Amino acid sequence: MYARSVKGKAIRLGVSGRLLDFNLVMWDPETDSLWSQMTGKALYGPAKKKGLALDVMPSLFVSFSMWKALHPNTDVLDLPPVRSKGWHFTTKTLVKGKNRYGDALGLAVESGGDAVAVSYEAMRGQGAVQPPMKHLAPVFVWIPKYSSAVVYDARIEGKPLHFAMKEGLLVDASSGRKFDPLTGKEVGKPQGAVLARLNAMPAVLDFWKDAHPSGRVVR
Amino acid sequence: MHSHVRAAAGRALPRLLAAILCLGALRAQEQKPDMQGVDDWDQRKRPAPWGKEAPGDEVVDVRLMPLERVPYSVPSRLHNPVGDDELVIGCVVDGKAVAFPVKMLGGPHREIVNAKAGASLFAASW
Repeated sequence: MYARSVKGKAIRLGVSGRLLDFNLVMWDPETDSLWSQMTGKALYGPAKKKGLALDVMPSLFVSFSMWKALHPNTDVLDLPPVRSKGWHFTTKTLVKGKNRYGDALGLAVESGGDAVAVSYEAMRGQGAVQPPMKHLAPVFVWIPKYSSAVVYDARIEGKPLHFAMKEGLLVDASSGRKFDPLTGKEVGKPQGAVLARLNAMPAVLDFWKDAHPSGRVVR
Repeated sequence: MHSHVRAAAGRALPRLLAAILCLGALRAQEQKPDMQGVDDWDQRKRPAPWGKEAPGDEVVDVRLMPLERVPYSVPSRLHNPVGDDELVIGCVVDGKAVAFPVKMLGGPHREIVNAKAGASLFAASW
């Protein structure tokens, strides 16, 4: 999900007819440039010469039930399906942790040139995965009720907590503080802390690694 | 007296049925999402001008004009139902939550949807 304005000017994004590393290449008629869907960076044309990149919009890649639980008054795109009915557009994809071609899937987080991706298989197996990063302390969380995953900043007031999933809650190992994995809110304390959600992009891990050679993958 | 009533009812009933049918048709038309141009591949395709130096591989020799006008509904009034276990890409922009069911993106004519919420412009892609 990308913002479609560049240097304050609106652009529209269309399908270019090209793929890069098996990933969609976008184009815009306003600057006649090509853009990478995976990284948001301009690949070709005037925008590439200026070194431009699209800003990432925070988004979630989750089940419809989880999205409705978070946002009951949501708008929903209302078009006939273009895909035949099958597991590959349902949460079974996340439970299997693979797409229909057998490629491992995960969620990726980037910050200040540092990047890490965690497989759905690891999230589902461990409940909570906390790979180290230079400027962030992400915790990748599997939510069994919705067969979906979300990523939070594990820091509260600047101090990282160390989470494990216990009885459906995120529990800090040292303090015992508990958090709701759906909302990030501290449980049992009306004025308690709230974990900030981090923006995570769904990714085919092998292709993501090709596009982020210095990034780390937790499988 | 009874014959008058029967005659009057006989004249009114077809009109009443016709009115109900017309209202039903109008309501169905009103509720049907506006699909104009969404899946019109021919109308949106343009020659791809990029040369061999452009990155990536050419999959089709055309590019598609951006898709902008698409219908949205609230969950309880979806014309095209979405199951609870189906995957969506969701975002909150300018306080407005919007979900894009993955099964509705692709094609490749619908791989990117250009959207707007408040003053914010964004694009969902798959």
